[in-house]
Amino acid sequence: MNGKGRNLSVVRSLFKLLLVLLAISVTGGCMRAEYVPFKPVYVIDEKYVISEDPVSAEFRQNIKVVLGFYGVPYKEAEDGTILVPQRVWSDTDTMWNYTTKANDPKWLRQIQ
Amino acid sequence: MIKSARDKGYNVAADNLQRFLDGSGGTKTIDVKWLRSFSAVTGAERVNQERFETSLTELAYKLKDGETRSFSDYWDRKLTASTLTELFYASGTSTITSSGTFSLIRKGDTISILGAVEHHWWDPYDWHAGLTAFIPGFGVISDEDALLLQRHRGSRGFMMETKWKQTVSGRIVIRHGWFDEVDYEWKGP
Repeated sequence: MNGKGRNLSVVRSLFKLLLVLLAISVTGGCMRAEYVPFKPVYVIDEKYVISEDPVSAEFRQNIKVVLGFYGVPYKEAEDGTILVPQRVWSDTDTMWNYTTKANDPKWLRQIQ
Repeated sequence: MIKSARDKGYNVAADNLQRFLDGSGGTKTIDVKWLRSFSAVTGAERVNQERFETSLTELAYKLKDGETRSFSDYWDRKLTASTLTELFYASGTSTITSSGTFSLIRKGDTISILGAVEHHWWDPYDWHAGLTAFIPGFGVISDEDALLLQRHRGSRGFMMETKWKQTVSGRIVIRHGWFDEVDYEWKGP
């Protein structure tokens, strides 16, 4: 391979690397941006159960306090649904803890 | 099944099954040293420790110079032991509830943290319709069998629990223009 060919090969490699980095960055950006509805999580018969029942306005208010306290980013949809990042929602055990605290008046009083 | 468990040295699991069959009920205190010999337990304990650390670090950065703050919180962590360990047969799925009280003080760019955490491990020894467990040498055992014993042979579930305390000291040094130092040290069993 002459000098010109070698330079072209290096440029191609750098271009490929740039594409890979771009793909990782775009994928990461999309993952970061993905928000999903927060649903109360309970434990029944030793299993996590995600409640599909509509949540009360009081619970909605309380869960915002819990998420705010732990610095969890959230959004509120037009219908009032609380949305949390997918990566946060995927930790079911922690979502169960957040649900417990949103239903615990003593904890809510103590942190305010 | 009880004899087979004892032959393997699984005495806690054997005692639990015997207590269930006897219908004694009540609460059984589990030995902390035995319980904490399982990585599933210390792993769950560590998750709760880290949860406290995350909140404490966040609170620490909000303190102004000379300010102090006290803080209390609790976390639950469910755990299921490996089927290769006695804990799976003695308990199955259980919970650690960790409750902590902490104080934070900022002097200059250093925040000092002190706290005490009580870990409460608990698990009702009970059975759930529809569930099964594979027990080596005995095959798949349905929870329904135990529920039948409960209904017709006087067997009775009971509560298992134990508590242990740990202390934590933390230090956060804010280094302008460089990485901050964040360090926590846990002491106790």
